Amino acid sequence: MLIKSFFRAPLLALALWSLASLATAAEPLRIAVSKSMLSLPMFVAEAQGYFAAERLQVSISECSGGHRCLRQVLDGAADVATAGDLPIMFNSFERDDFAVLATFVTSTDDVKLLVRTRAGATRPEQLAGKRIGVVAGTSSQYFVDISLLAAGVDPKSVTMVWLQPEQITPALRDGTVDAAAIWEPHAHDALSKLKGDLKMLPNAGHYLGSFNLVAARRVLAGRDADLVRLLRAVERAQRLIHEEPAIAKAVMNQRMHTDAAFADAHWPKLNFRLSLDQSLITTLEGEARWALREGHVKGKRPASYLSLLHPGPLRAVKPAAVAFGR
Amino acid sequence: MKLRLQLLACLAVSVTLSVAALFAVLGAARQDLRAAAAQASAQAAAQHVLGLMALTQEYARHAEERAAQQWHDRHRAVLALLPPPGSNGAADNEGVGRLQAVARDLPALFSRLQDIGGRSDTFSVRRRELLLDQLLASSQAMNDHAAQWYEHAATSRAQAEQRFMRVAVAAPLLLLALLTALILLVYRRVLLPLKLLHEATAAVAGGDMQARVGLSRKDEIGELARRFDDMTAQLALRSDQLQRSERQLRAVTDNIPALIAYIDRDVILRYANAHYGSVYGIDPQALCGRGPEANLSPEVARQIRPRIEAALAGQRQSFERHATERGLDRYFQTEYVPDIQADGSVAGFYVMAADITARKQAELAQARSEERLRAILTHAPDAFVGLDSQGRICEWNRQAEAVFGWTRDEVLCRPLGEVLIPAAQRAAHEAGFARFVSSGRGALVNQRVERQALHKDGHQIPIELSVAAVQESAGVWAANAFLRDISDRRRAEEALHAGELRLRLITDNLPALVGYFDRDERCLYANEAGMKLQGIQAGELAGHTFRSAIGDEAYALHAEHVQAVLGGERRYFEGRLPRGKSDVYFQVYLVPALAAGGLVEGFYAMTFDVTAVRRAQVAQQRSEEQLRQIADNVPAQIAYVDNEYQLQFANATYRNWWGLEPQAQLGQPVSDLIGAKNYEVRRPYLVRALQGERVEFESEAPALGVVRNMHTCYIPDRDAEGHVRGLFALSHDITAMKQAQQQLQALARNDSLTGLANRLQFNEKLPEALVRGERNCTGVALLFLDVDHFKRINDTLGHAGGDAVLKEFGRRLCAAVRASDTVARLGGDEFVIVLEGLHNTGEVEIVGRKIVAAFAEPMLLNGQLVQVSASVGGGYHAAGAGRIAAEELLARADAALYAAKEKGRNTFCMTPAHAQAAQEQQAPQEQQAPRAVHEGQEAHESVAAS
Repeated sequence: MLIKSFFRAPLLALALWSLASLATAAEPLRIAVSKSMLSLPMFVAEAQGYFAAERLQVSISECSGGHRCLRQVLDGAADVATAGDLPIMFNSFERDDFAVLATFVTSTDDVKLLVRTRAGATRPEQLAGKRIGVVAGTSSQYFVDISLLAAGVDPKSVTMVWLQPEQITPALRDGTVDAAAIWEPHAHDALSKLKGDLKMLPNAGHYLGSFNLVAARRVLAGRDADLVRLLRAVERAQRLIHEEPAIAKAVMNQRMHTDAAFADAHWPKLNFRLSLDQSLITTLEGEARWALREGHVKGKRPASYLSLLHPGPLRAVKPAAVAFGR
Repeated sequence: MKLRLQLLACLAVSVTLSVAALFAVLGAARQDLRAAAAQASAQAAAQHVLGLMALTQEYARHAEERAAQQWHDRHRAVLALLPPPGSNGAADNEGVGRLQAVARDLPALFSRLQDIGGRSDTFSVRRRELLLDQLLASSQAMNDHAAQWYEHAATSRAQAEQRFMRVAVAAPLLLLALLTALILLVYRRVLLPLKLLHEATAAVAGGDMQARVGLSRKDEIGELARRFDDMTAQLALRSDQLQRSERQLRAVTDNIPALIAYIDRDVILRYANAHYGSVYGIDPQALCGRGPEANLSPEVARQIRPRIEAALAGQRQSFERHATERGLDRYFQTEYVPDIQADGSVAGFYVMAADITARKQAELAQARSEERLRAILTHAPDAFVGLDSQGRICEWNRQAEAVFGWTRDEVLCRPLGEVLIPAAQRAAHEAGFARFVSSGRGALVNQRVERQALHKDGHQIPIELSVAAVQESAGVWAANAFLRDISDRRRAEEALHAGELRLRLITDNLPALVGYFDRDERCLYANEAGMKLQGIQAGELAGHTFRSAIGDEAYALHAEHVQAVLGGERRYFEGRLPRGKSDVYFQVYLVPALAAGGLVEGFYAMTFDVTAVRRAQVAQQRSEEQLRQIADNVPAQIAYVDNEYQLQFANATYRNWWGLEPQAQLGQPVSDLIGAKNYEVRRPYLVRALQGERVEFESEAPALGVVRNMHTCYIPDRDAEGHVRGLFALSHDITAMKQAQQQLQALARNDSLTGLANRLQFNEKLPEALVRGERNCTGVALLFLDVDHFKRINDTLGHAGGDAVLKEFGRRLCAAVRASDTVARLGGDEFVIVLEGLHNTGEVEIVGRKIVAAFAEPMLLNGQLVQVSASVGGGYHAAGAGRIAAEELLARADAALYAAKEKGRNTFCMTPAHAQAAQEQQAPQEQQAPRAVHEGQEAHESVAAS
């Protein structure tokens, strides 16, 4: 009997392990990708088959805006999301069941402040008293605040109208708002559709936005190997973007339904690089202080944003890219 | 490839490699330096950025102008450290670009912070806090980018160092490899070939003209080696030529029939040709190296000493010398030719001594010859008479004595006229001789003429005379005469003439034209018949040629043959010429006349008139042709087979029947011509006929897909002595007749209306069936049947309708029985059927009922349905029941038919049961009747089904 048990137990364990392996191996990594040109490395990796080359099964779902993608992760509908620093910062006040794997693009010019011509404002200083459409909890909101504050206009002097990205252009068209802050390609879409009725204000806030890969903590422990494959595929896509920009632009236009002119206009302002820099922490902390100060959030921010970073996979892929704390 | 090119290529590669290595090292060093500088700049920039961050915070807290000032200084310092946009440093480093981008925007933010200054209202505080955070975040980003810049520079530097190391290791290794290759190249392409060259030169120097370097390379040493080989080959060739030339020269001098030698200034013989050997009997080489004293006798040496000295003094010497060598007298015409050098000195002299012994001896011999001549004349076979200018005899040899009877002494000094010339010619002789004496000319001089001469006893002798004039002194001629007695020749000529006359007589009387013509076809002879035919008179013969003699028309036929016969060929041909209303046929023989050397001098022509023979031949051919025509058109095969069984004649029918051309088959064995099977049939008849018996027989001959019935008659052919030489075969095709016979026979045995067997055939078949049944132990049944109410049918439908019913009735009967059963029509509407191979009566009943049933269906005749029925009576004869007469069985069946009619027709009845039972008791083998019935039933049903 004992002997039987002696043999039976390892066999059972082996069978269970095999089943578990099969289950995990067969389960694709669900990635929620924002339909933005900032997500280009993800699109390229998918289009070029880099995920498959890394033997990584992925299930990519598109969402309009990083805040929505991150929401999918937080809701358990996705394992990894592409998200800007603002959604990360806002959610850090409420939960800590996610972590940043890496920043894969930074840009100083992704968010645009658009003003209806009829509103008569040509500078941020003239926006006082206006109705401004913003996407709450995103870079859109932050960009409006810092633009106003930098220009010496109290954000409280304007009427913030909470909209979703796809509502911005209709709101500007029908005059629901006088101005709006929105990222690409929505800004381009609004400008091209409303043409003479809309203009873009100069960037006064100097917001250095980043787009990051954010993973649910539940996948961190068990699927680090998959995350390493994911980052390796993204790194390979980054190399292609640098070395073969024409191919990358073609992928972007095909995916975003944009044209060559759009790609050429925005390309120089995008800085595709896989990293985990100290500046991300500094930015998050600064944004957290702004959110508290302006009363956008309540409660307590994380004691250290270091705990929000999960550098292991990136270190495995590109050790020099993990630069925070140096 | 040229060695020079290879070395140059090697050098070029070395230089290129060295330069490339140098450039690579320099490039790596420059990259290293640049990277080190970038590292230092990045480090400095990072420090300045840290300073910026501290100053930003300080200014935000205290709004000190000093801090703002320092902030801007630091910011400028950062910008100063950055490489200008577009430069190499900026392009290859993303960190620098981003650092520049962020740094560019920073002063604007800081200036807004400065705008707020130290204000403490809530809004200003909120703004300051925001701007401070923005500045700190941007500064931190700058710091991160500076770190990237540093990392990139460090990586670049590591790469440079790595490249430097690679080049530092690879360059010496490459150069070492190149050096090794160079050494190998020099060793293999230079040193080794040089060694071979050295060995070859040593071999050539040692006299081995066959030594070759044998290098095939296309470099300088290869060319040198080939040139050496060519030169060696040339040298060998020239040496060979020289040796050959020397050998030839030596052979020439050795074969000159003169002594050739060379004596140097020290009077030492240096060369002597082979003739010395033949003259002196010693090896010429043995003479060389010695002086005249050693080679010659002291006397001779002494004799020639002055000549030698003169020659060595440069004077050519020419003298005759007599010597006795090996007991023989020899005479030499000797020449000493000085060998004068370019500087005029005499190196020696050439000795050329021609052996004139023969000439000397000839001169001596001439004197002796004259003596001998006299002796010869004395003993000459012809008479020789010498006359002096007076016409007196001064020479009279022994033959003259024999011919003319006079002795020498008797005739010497006597005039020739009175000794030899007949009195009648004497005056003419003397007159002629008088003319001859003064001129040396005369009618007889240098001629061979025949004359009569007087014998001592007075009779005349025919002689052939030839006279030669001999000048005794100026203007005075004497004569020598040879005289030959030609009495024998004369007799022979006369005999020849007589023979010729006889020959002419023969040719003249030949029934042919005979002629002889020379090469130019001139007629030299023609027999009388020839001349007569051509109308040539005897005297005109010489003026005729072959062409003029036979006429142009005939000559045209002869021309080709004349050319051939003049070429040496014998020719025979036949020809025909129209002569009046009919033609003349002739045969011509042309035979070349060959001279002694085989040369064709002319030709003989013999022409025979064969007109009569030819006409007879033509008549015979025509007769044969007519016979053949007749034979070919006879509707029978006519052939002649000799006693060797070989076909010698066959008419055209043979071709039609056997498909073979008769003429092509003549001489072939009959067995080969008609095939083995046909031959086997005919062979006994052939044998009998060739034994002298006339035989006739009929046979079938399959040929060309047709089988012929033939009636053949072999008639022996006997010669005059009664021996059988062969046989005439006459064959008629009787196939049609046979077929007619067969048709007649068939008509007699079958019913013409139904095609069934008639009574005659039935009468044959029934007994045969009974015999077969007995032999096979099977039963035989006879069914007798007729058409019910046939008379009524006949009356209703007419005779034609009745006939149609009978035909259909017969057809249904045939369909109801087996093919082996016999159905016959006895006449009217009476039919019988003979069933064989039965085992019991049950089988008969089955067939009987089947027949009755076969008429259940009405007949369709001319679109009208006619119901016909049959009454059938059956008689059965069981197996083993003993013999039964056919009539008995017929009667039994007839009785049964009667019973069937009694029963109301349209039914079947068997022989009454008691009669059958009596039979069956005699047939114990039929005890198993039920089974047999069953089997029989099956058998008949299967027959019906088939």
